[in-house]
Amino acid sequence: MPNMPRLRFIVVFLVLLAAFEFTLLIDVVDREVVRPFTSSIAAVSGSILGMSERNVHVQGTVISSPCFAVDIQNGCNGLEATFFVAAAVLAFPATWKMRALGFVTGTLIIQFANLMRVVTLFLIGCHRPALFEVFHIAVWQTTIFALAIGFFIVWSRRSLIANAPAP
Amino acid sequence: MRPLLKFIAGAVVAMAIWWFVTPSYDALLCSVLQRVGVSATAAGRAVNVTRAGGPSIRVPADQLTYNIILFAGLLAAVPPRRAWRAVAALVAVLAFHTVALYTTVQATYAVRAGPYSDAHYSTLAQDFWNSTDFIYRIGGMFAIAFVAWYAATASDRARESPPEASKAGPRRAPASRRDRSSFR
Repeated sequence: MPNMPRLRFIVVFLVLLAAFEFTLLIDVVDREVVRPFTSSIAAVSGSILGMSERNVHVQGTVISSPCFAVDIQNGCNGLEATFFVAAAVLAFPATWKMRALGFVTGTLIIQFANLMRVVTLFLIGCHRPALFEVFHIAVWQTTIFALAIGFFIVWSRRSLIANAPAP
Repeated sequence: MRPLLKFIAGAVVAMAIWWFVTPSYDALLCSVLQRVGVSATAAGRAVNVTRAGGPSIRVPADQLTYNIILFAGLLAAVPPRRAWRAVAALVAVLAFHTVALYTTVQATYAVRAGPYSDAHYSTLAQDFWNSTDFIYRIGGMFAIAFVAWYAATASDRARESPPEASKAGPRRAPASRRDRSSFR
């Protein structure tokens, strides 16, 4: 049954992803982990936006200025795509060293991209509000997950090469 | 670089189609839901649902279907060798749209319909529908797109790399050329 490893990957990936995402619904996790983490994203994004926009204020997960305001919530803090990468690298057959490397690198890439998402969405909301919704939903969310999948594909190939025995 | 450009092209085309076709597609989803007893009508990019003895609700249905953009991008970048596999994967993604809309309707009535929610849904049912809806929206929809594409192209990869390449732990790997194509 040559497809069993791939079927196993799919099942384990989906189960892990659902389990990781489920944790976001737990109150204590949301209060003690997700909100502080999201607030830090808002703070960094606010600092970046402050370089080009006037009177940018950050309060908790809300970034506001006279022209626009956003409240960063689950789905916009990059955790969902980070979980996606985590589930994929854990489900894929690789060494724990490669998995750890994949998780850390993937998280950094996703979070950097997410920072760009928050900043650009704020700027779009400020200067091109008519485009905000399509960029918020379709463009950036697709881009973030495409990045997660692209990273996983590259990582999985490299993890196979890394496991190859010396000739 | 070529797969990336193909991905972008596929995603851009799919986004345009998704944007303009959504109202008609929502009407199609509503007609499917009506077959299972849900009184749903499309209203632009949203769906209105009515229930006897319950409040009317409005569901932004377009937020449940845009994983088609990612799916189309993946298919454009790395298509399966056999066209029927792409069609089967597409059907699976579209089928999940119906399930997602049904789940969102249930979740909305279960937790966001005031006294009606508590009167008609147990705590367990409320948690179930809310969790399922949340997991689909937050990342599940993209996981479905990814898995559908992955499954459609898996046997192509199996042909390009031996099954040993996917077994757990340090293992015998194929030549590096095959390695590079094993997840294509």
